[in-house]
Amino acid sequence: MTIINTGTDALTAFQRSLDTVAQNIANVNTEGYSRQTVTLRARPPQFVGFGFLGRGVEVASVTRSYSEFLTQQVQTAGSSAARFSTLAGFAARVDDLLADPSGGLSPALSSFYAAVQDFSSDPSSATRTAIFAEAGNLVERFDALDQRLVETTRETTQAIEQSVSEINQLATSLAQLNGQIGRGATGAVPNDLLDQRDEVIRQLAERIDVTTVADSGGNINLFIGNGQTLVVGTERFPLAVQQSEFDPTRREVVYESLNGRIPIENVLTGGTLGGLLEFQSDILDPSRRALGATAAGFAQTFNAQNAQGFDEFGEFGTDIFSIGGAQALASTNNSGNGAISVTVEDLSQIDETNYRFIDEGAGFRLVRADTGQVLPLTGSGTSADPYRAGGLAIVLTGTTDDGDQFNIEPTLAAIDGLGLAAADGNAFAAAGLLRGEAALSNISDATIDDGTVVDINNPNLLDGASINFLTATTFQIDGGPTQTFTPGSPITVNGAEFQITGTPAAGDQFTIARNTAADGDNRNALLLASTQDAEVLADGTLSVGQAYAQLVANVGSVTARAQASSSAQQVVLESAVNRRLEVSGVNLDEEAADLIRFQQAYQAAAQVVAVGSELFDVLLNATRR
Amino acid sequence: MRVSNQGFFRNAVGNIQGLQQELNAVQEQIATGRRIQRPSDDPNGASRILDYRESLATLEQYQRNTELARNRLRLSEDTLTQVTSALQRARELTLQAANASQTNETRGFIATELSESVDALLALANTRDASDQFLFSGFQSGTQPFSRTIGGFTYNGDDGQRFIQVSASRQIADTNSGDEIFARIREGNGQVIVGAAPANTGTGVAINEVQTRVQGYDFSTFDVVFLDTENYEVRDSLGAVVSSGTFEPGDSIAAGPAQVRIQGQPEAGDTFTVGPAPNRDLFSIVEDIASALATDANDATTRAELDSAVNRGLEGIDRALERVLEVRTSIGSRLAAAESQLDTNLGTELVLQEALAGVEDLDLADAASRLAAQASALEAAQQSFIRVQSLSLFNFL
Repeated sequence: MTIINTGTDALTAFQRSLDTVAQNIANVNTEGYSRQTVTLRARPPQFVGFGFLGRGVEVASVTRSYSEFLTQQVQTAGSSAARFSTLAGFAARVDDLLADPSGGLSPALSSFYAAVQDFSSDPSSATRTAIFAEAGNLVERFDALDQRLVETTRETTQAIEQSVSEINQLATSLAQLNGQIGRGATGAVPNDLLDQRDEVIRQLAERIDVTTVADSGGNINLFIGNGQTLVVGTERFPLAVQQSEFDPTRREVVYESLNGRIPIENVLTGGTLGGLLEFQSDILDPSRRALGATAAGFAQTFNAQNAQGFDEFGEFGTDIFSIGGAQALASTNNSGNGAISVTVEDLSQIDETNYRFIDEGAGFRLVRADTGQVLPLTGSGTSADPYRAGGLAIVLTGTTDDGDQFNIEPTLAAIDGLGLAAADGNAFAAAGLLRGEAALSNISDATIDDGTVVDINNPNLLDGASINFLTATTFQIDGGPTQTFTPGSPITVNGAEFQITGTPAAGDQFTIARNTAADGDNRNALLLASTQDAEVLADGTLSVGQAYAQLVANVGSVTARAQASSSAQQVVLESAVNRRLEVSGVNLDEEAADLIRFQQAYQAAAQVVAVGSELFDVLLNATRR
Repeated sequence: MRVSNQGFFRNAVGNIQGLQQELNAVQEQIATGRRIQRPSDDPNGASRILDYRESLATLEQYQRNTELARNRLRLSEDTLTQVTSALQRARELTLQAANASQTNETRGFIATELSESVDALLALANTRDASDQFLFSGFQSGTQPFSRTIGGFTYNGDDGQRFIQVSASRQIADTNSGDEIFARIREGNGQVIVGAAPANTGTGVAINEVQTRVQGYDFSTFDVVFLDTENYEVRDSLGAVVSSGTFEPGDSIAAGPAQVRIQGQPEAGDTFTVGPAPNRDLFSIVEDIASALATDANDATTRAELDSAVNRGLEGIDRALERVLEVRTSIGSRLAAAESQLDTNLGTELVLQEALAGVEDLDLADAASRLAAQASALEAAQQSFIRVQSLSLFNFL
């Protein structure tokens, strides 16, 4: 009785179909699930003399609605979107930090210089107290900003470690799935495992740019960077995070190849990890370097000007601020015992990058880490004649071997060493060094100014002198050789220039003396105030305030660009996901229709079996007699 | 196009989230009143805001500096006005004392009053400002500028003059030093002084008729020497005779840069000197008059000495008045400059504030309408989502 066989086959086939509909409904919300359909086909017919007789239906296959192209597009778009959204998210923190109208550097800098101006208008004990307090605030503000950047560095490192561990876990899953899929490869396709594997690859791509290559055994092999194998078949090669070879406080991503660990950060792009590395190298470190350079520029300029005047006690002004110097760290891979010490000689030449100092056997080479540009070195590396390039002076001690490397950070850690070197407001040097005076007994009305220091290092600068005019045009200094006086040109005494205005008379005397008790003298205080506008950074084009504004603008524009790219990539990703879902996604209405369709067919097939059974009964009843 | 359920929900949620983000951004703008919340909203604008803020802070600082300069200049001016009145009073008293009707006793009263006015002038020169700094001691603001010493007065400060930054490119000088105002007053006509030798025995009193400075004066000295009561010689510093002539009381004799008019009758051997005027401080000038007046003048010779001293003192007071007036004029012009700088700075401040507002401030009307538009878009998206998601074939099974 073919009818019963055909009917039960049909029941089985429709049951499978209904099972698949149920599976689709069950997985309506599963990420990466592809809608499955049962393909039915008529069984091969049987030849019965007069022709072929149908033998019912069978399940040909269960297939998934799948497009390799669309799936790969989702992976690629996901990688870019994750990269930019990570970059934008982290960049926004620095962005928020820098330009907070009350928390950024600008207000502290403004109020410090306001105090300097008050001090210059009226150098009294009250303004000295105020300026010292403001100097403390400014140091704290620099420090707080730097600390926030250091914390962000720590968070970034944690996120990188997290990302690397996720990549390793996903790589393990991929290797396992490769194994499971390979073992079951008997011609039939394990749709759900394939979906799972695609989903694992998508998640991997979200964390790092990957290249996939399918091999003949049904495996998908995965490569990262510029060709490093992450997964091949059922084997995986993990990434790891270890201490930087130069700086034990920093971490770097390495690749564990068969030949040992290889630093790989420079070639990793895309995904969360790529975004994090990009944030670290393009925003975080440069911001910290720029902030350090700003602090160093500020402290150096202010200290230098303070040293040009006399403090409250009539002594040369000492340093108001202390500041950290350049960091120079040897690689742990160095075989020589050489060490270098680096001094920043010209801050205006320093860019927001680090430098590598490399022994090349035949000589040394200084390379910018960001552009790879080689800076030609002069000098011989001794403390008397250091190697010099790009504003840096490098003194080498000990011996280095070919290939030994050092990392130089000119300003990254400058703020670590920023502090108040002065004990109180009396250290601020308001007064000039010298004063000139015409003797009261002079018969002419010629006057002398208080002098301009041209050589601060002159050992006799403060000795004082007396200028005696022999005639209206000749004079002697402290009884020395007779010199000629030319109206309008200054008289140089012990490294300072003095201008005499008017026509002196024979016998006139002008005295030059060290400035004492000049509580109200504000000559140097005015110059201290003018350091606010001194363009000491970026090749002498930016003042400290401007350098900070430029840092804010730079971070702002990188953040804005990252945010724009992030939203653009998000759109690309959404549309890729939608296109994949158009093909592979489950539509419940469709499933409802299928449910009804297969239910009806199932009921009909059951009816066929019932009819077959009745026919059988008829036959049995007929033969019972 | 197939629509998958996941796709439908993703899109709907994505759209609603996008609208909520925009709504949140506008809400934040309205709440803070600022167009730029963080530099990435407008990097160029953010950096300009920092610039403007710094400029504004500096400008406010310049205003404070200018006000400080103005206050100190006003105090100087007030003080110097009082110095002028005191000097004028001293001049009146001196003129009064020179009157022939005065007796030794009445001159003594005047001398006492003049001595008191020296103390008053000294107190004015030692004026302190609001922060207890001496106004007229140059840079040495903690040092009392003038003190009385044996035989005169000493200036203890220096000739420093503080400058105050009142705009980015302009500094205004603070008060002048006491050295300039009080201590260095050239007597005579400000260049040349004529006097009678102390050993003179006649009653001649000399006055220089040249009251202005002579160009090219080489600081040389001349003596007018009387050979007898009628004949005189003018000699240079080496004793060589430059000119000679005959004299009658009241005649005027040319001697170098001066025109010496001699009242009274000189005797043989009497000498009148012409030479560069020395620097004196104004306290000594007044005090010298007082001590001359306190000395009894009982005969024609002592009377002549008194007249000589009074003449010299009057010239000195005139020079002092001139000097104080000069300084007051200069302070007045600096005060005017400070006032106009205050106005200029205020104008600049307004411009900067407008520029800052232009970059930073939110157009509230525009933001409010954007808020309304986005709120209704969000509401529509939510409503349509609820309606569409409730449609399902399963509802009818």
